Amino acid sequence: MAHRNTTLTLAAVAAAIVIPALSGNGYVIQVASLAAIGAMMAVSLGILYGHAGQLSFAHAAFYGIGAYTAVVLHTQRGLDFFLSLLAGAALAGLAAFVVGLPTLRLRGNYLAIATMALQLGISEVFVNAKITGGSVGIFGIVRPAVFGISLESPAAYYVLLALAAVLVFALAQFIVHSRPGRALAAVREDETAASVIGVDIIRYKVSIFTITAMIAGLAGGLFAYQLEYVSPESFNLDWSIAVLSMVIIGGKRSALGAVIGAVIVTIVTQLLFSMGELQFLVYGLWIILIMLFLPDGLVSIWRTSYRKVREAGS
Amino acid sequence: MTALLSVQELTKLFGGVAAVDRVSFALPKGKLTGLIGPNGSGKSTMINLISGLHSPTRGTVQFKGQDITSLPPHRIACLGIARTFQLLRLFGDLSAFENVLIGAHLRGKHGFAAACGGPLLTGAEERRLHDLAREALEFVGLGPRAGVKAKLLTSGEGRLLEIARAIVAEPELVLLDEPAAGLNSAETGVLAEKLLSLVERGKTLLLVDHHMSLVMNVVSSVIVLAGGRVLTIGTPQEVQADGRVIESYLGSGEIYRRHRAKREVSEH
Repeated sequence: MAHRNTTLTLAAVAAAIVIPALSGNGYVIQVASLAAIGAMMAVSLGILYGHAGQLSFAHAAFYGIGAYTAVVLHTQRGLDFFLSLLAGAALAGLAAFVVGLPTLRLRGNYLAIATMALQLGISEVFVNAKITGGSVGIFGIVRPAVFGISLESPAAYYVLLALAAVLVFALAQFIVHSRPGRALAAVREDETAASVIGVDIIRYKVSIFTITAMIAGLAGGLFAYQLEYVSPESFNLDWSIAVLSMVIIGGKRSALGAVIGAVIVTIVTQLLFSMGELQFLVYGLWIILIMLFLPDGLVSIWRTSYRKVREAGS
Repeated sequence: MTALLSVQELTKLFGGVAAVDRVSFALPKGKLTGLIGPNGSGKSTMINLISGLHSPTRGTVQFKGQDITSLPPHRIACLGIARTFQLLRLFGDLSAFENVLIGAHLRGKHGFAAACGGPLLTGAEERRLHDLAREALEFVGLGPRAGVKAKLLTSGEGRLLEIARAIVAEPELVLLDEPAAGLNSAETGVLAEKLLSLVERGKTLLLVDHHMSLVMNVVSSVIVLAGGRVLTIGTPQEVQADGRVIESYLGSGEIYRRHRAKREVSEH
């Protein structure tokens, strides 16, 4: 059974990578690319919010830090592509560490408030700083060649994005099902009980906030080269909230749910694009509906029916 | 007799009111000591002070000769002191097994870096921790309930799960805050048996209880608190015969009733 599940999962992942890449349809590749980037963001926020119980509104800011850093280092200074991505992730992690260290000492929802402030502040920096190109942003980004393979075509670059998403997904699963992952679940459930078991709650909260911000930074760097252009409106509070909606819609306790949420939100956002500001109304409405009727997200439908099928079978 | 833990002149003020007032005692290694007293006598505050959830206003706590006063709770746990809670503090959304597995935190070493390596890197330690958790769960008799979410357990099972979670990391000292509260007499009997078997394994226990049925049957000595102060320390027999203890309990009526019931039995 476990064997068949693994085979099915691998087949599904392979199909999700190969089919859009070979579709030859620019629109499909574009949407699939954005979904892969959204999946990385949602998986990252899912660990932080769903698993560790800490809410961040600054994931778009970390994403932006990763994007600008990668572009400045690779496109403008000629540093190696992957090193530039890693530097962006590291800088995003550093920002989270600096904000998280004082904030996460406090119990309660201070992180949500502090990250909201951080997001608004960093958005201002993106708009006004010289190095980010101000409100115009940075043009002329060219997708690189890595290991002798050109990623210039959107299809080739999509394969890189999808592989990165798979890597992030696997890391999330490893972390959640590990000793530190369990300690985070304990922190979410009851900080006092976690502390007397020996969990250094501040250290674990700061660590996971930093790690998930690094993932957001990596996703941001990858995004910059997908769009081939960076500007502040890609990194504002709207995007933080969109990622949060992916997590809630898909299922906040499940990495698979986060991926499902990312795919659905990405597709629906594309479909609603012509509605302009009205799309936020639709967003708000379906988040409320999901929270009311499916508190564990869309992934819980699949789980419940899977269990029913199994019970019927036995 | 060597003291594993000693408390010196410990005082805790809450808004000027002393919940614990200049309390001193020592816990002998490898023994089960009772801590009793009427409601509001400072028993739970004592446990919170020792486990680091409160920091004392004055006084010191020493564990194995080391000053642990005002250390944060996780550092105190690291040194080998575990505790249970009077109002259950289980991880409700997690299974009984996961609760105990988290309790084994201090027996593992892997951090986030190792975790990112996946099962290849963490497999051996994970198997070891799973074995420890399974053993502890079976020790308290919850083996068959391993997969049940903690919030769906009965209160008796919840108490036992708290104990399993506290002992799985092999602490030297276990502080039990009213583990018998809400248990029926059969369950209390099972609990007494488990506590004695922990002492046989070399653990040192401090058992807080305010109704005395459990304490008097299993402990080797009793500390009696009243109004935040130590009233007396002695064997269960000495304490039960002590007029001041009987008097301090008159408010709650517990010892008084037991005392009278005994007298009635002997008169017949």
